[in-house]
This record gives sequence, structure tokens and C-alpha cells, in this order.
Amino acid sequence: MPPKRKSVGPRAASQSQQATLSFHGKQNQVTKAGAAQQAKTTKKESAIEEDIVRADISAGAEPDLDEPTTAEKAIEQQAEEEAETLEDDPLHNGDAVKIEDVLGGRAQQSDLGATGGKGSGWLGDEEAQARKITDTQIKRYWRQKEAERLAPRVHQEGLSVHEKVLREWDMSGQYGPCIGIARLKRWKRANLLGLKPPMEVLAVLLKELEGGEVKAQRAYVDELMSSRLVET
Amino acid sequence: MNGQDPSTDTSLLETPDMSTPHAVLDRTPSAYTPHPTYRLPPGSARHYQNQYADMYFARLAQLKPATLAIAADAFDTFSIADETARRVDRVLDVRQGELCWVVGTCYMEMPLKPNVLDDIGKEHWIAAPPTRVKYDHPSVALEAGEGAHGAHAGGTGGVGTQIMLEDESGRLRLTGSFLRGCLLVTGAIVAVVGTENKDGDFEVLDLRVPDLPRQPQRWEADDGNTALTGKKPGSKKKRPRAGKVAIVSGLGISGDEGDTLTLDLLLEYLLGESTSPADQEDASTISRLIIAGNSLSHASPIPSRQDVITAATKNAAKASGTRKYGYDSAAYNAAPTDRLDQWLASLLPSMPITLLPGAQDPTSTSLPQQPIHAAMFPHSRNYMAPPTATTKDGDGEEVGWFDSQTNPADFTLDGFRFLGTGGQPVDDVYKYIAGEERLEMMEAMLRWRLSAPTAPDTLPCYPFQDEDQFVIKDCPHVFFVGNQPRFETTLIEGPVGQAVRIIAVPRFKETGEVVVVDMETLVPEVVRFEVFD
Repeated sequence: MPPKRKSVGPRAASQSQQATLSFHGKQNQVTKAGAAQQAKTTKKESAIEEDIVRADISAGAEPDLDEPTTAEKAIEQQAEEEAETLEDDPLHNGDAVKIEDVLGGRAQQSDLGATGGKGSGWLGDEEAQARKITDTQIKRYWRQKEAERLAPRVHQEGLSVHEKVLREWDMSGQYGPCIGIARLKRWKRANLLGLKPPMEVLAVLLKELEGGEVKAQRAYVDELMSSRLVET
Repeated sequence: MNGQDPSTDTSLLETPDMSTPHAVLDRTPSAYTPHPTYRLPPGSARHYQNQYADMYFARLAQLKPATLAIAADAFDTFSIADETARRVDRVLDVRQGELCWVVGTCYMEMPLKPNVLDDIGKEHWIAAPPTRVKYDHPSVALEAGEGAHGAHAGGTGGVGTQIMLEDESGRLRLTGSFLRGCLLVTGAIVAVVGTENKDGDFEVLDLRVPDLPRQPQRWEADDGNTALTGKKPGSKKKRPRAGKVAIVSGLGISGDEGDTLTLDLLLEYLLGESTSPADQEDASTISRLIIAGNSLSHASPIPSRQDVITAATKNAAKASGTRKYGYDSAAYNAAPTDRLDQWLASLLPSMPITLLPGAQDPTSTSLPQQPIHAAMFPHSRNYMAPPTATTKDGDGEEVGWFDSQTNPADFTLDGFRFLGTGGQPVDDVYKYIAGEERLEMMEAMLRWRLSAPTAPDTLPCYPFQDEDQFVIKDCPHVFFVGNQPRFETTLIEGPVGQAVRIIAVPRFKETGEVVVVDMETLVPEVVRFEVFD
């Protein structure tokens, strides 16, 4: 809902058509007679009053830009849940983090579920494998990706290799929609569904998480599409 | 009722014999394990800002391997005029004039489907729209009837209806006379073989669905448990002969005086208080009662369109244009839930009950409907398991005699896997498909491996993000659907020897029928209660 608008001036009474409570009439008079007198006298001083009162009222919405939106909060929460399931939780170091064991073999219960559930989202030892991947391997992976295209990528000059790898990960549609889901959670989901997502992307994601911030977990396209400020 | 012919059974009319002690009948016990497949995480762990695209993607990713396997068997040797069909990865990779096959999600564009723009327009006009029975345009139904053949009396395609195949790359329109013989709804995963014609439409020559999944053996879950806990499976105690299970749906308790008599008759029959000793012995073999939805007739938390209109017109007579949004607590009538609670509490000391919610019950309206809360049953609550601290999995939770279940419900009873719904998925599929063959629609739902195929499209549901919970992973032995117009049953078979008994349970309030399934043979029979006016 848009924030409440202050109606200024003596026009306020006639603007609202809703009759919620009946305060009119001599019988139901709640306000003192003196207040009614005051309302009439403001007409004379309205010019002065308008200057004072209308100074800083804007009709548009003024969101608090420091507060994250619901979508952002959801992705931060997902990222933190994902980080908790890692063996070496970079975000919650020092907390008593319970590591959920991966139960294998039972066919009847559903072990799927990238967050929590029974299996904490890993099929095997992907995390250990991903941590072993070196920077040179990631760079080689990226060079292979670039070689698949005939023309070089544009508008990516200022980005690090990590960021480029992650954006390519977002844009790979075969692993599902990238909006509304944290990147690590999307990787785990793709892994559980048997789509074999590349291990280098997991390595990059874990390296980003080690920095301790969850900014890199939100897809760049997600931020663009749900941007609050539309510059015209 | 089954049992002795009343004219020859004289035991009812004999004088009581005081010398011999009366035989006391014991009810057959039932081995029951519910599965938490359709339980949603509690409270704050549910997220509603997810998009449904995640759910469609997960559904396709889960069912694609099975569909690919079946389609590869069928289509790898499919050839027309020396050209064999080639598999393409994405829906948009089909080339004109080339024979190829592809797997995707079916989407049906139908003219009478509920449209949010129509709803907005209608908000300004209080008049209720005519209730749509089918989404197809009415002039199509005649054409489909003529073109129908074989078991598929339903048909698709016609004026305004478009069938498309979709995956993450794009959409492809499907045409061809083959489609008229197929049962298709939005959300079904299918593999089609054919070629693209010059209009850009894909002409379908053949179609395959994932078909039934693997069916577990009887007692597989229990044997698996004993193996995991280390007990010796060799010391298998002989399991006693399983009894019968009674399935009823649509009790429709509304607090009126009118609905007491047949309910009481049912209660007396199940308790063994009525009929002759032979029938009482039969009733004592019934080990469990399953109530499949719509126990209350008018308790859905969201008022239907008709309710909003009557409330608005009533208020318009008094005040000017005030609308009652939300819930008027002064108008709450506790009689229906009280009546249901008393009825259950009378039956519970003797027999365990599983309660599934339905469309009219006081629980969530979006699927999967969560169990009706214990607060609604102050008396029957004593028979429920005490609430434990919420564990992340459903394991280790004890199950009481009164089990309030989700809708759809997945449980193991006497070793057999049961899958049941309160009727909403089948009723929604009914609106897409021309014809009245509900058993075929239920069979199709099993073969598509989806317990609610139309779920995000026309059936409200929770936005799953990790995986689509409506995908059926293990083939059930019994699939029952409540609140259907008639009792119908059939046995369907799968490609690797699966056998599923499908039961359509009629509404008790209208027909007075209860389905009793023998658990050893899985053959259902009907017990009907009638009151002569």
C-alpha cells in the first residue's frame, strides 16, 4: 500500500466520502465546540499555514533505501541457510553449527531439498572437490567458455573473472530460473536434479562466500529486474 | 448390505440366550504409517515470494529422464519414408521438414479458462458469472465426440483451444489429428514425435508419457526399517491377516437437523452396534476409516464468490455500499465442527481414523492442503498424537489413532502404498478434458506421474522451489479420490508389472455409499445407507 498522505487544509473534511462513525449531529458531538471555532478561523491564516505545512510533503513514495526489499531478504536468508550447511561455515564462524549428515540409501524418504531436509542438499563430496579447484583451473574454464562464442563479450571489461563466471551461470537456462533464488541454492538444486552443473561455478561460489558477504548470491539479473529506482 | 439374507437369518429375532456367554468381537488391527511427502515446513519457513517457474522447471527436470527412456524406446525406430526420428534437446531446436522428437511440458490455451483480467472487470459488476463446467468452448464438444475412438472418449483441440509444448527455451504449438485422441492438460510432461510444418506448428505423429513409476513391494517400507535398525529379517514374524478399510467422503456436515440420521447409521454400522451378528463380524474386520475430504459442507476460510455477492446484497439493503471483507466473527456457527467432532469421538475409541481435508474444509485452500488443526477437535484431540517440537523430517513422530492428514495424502496401510486426494485435482482435470470418464482422468494422472497436474495453472498451490512435490515417485497400490459423483473402480497396469487399484469415492451426503476395500485382495465393495422417506 502506498504510504499515508497527509491531507492539508480545510478541504480535508469534504474529501473523504466514507462514513465510518457518525460524529456529526448535536447528539454525537465528540469534539468540543471550541475546536470547531478554530477550524473556521484557519481560513484566514491559510496562506501562512500553507507555506509552513506544505513545505516538505511529497506525494510520491519514499522508500527507505537502506532497508532491503522482501526479495533481497529472502535471498539473504537462503544464502545464510546454504552457508550453514557447508562444512566450514564462513558466515557463522564461532556459532555452534550442526552439520547434517547425508543419509544415503533409503528410498522411501525424500532426500531432496537444497536447504536442510534430510540431506542438506549434497549428493556426495562436491564441496570438497570444489574447494580443491584452483584459480588457474577457473581461468581455463572461463577461456573455454569464451572460445565457444564467435564474438567477444561486450560491457564486461570491468568485471573480475569470478563475476563473469557467475553471470554466465545465471544466464544458463538449463539449470532453471535464476530470479528469486540464491546462486548456491540454485547450484545445489541443479545438482540434485541430475543436471550436472559445472564444478568450477561451485568453486567460485564458495570462494565468494569465504569473503563473508552474501551479496554475490543474488543474480545480477534479479537485481536489475526488481530494481526500486527506475531512472527515466 | 452384504451378509446374510434377512429372511433366513433368524438370529436377530431369537430370544437372548442367557446361558452361553456372549462372544466379544475384536477389531482387526491396522498397520499404518503416514509419509510426510505433502507436509509443508511450519510457519516462517514457508516462502511465498517464489515464482511458479521454479516449480515447472523442477517438474520437467524430475520427469525428463523417465520420459526420455520411454520415448527413446518407442521413437528411436520410428521412421517414415526412410527417415528416422532424431532426438532434439530443446523445444526450439526442431527444424522444418525434419522428423524429430522432443520432451516438454504441455500448455493448453483455452478460451474459457479463468482469466485475471475478466475477474477485474467483474469486480465492478456484482453479477456472478455462469459456473464453467468445462474450459473448452461448447461448440467443440460435438466435434470431439465424433472424432473420438477407442477408450479415449475425451478429445482436445478445437475452437480457440491451443495446445503447446514448452520448456525453458520456448514454446511450440502442436497440431495434428493425433492430438484429438490424447488426454492432455497443462502441466503434463510429454514426448512428441513429428515434424514442423510451414506454419511453424509442430505436427504430432505420436505421443508418450512417463507412465507409472516403480511400485514398491508390499511391506517394503517395514522390511527396510527392520534392515536398517539391524534386526534380523530372518526372524520374520508371520503377519496377521489384514482386515478391510472403509473409505468415505463428502460427509457434508452443515449443522442442519437433516444430516443426523444417515451419519448415525454409518456410525452404528462401523461400531458393530446394528445389524445381525454376521454383519457385525464383517464390520469388525474393518480396521480403519479414511475420510476423504469435505467433512464439513461450508467451512472454507475463503468465501466463495456467491457468498461475497449475498453478503454484499444483504449489506446493500441496510447501509450504502459497505462491503464485508474478511471474516465476521459474530457470524461463526460452531455447530458443524462440533457435530463432526462428536461423531469422530464416538467412533475413535473403537476404530482409528485418517482424515483428509477437502475443498470445503477449514484449512488452506491451496494445495497441498495442510492437516486440519487439532484445535477444531476438542474431543477427538485426545486420540491424536501429542504435539512434539517440530522436527525437520517426519520421522519418529508417533501417530495417534486419529490422524489428521494432508491433501493429497501419502501413507502405507497394511504394507500397501495409498495415495489419496480430496477430489480437487481430478475435478480440475475434468474441466480441461471433454467427456465424463473420470476414471480415465485418474489413470492419466497416474501415468503422467502427477498427483495435481494442473497445479500452478488453474489450481492454487504452494510455490515449491526445490522440487515439485506433486510428482509421484513411488507407484501406489491404491489411488482413491473423494467427492466424485459416482462410485467407480478399475485396475490399471504398468509397463513393468505395476498394478494400481483406482477408486472414485462418491459423496456420502448425496449417495449414502461407503467403499470398503479388502486389504488382502484390494477389491472394493460398496455399503449403502438409505433412509426411506
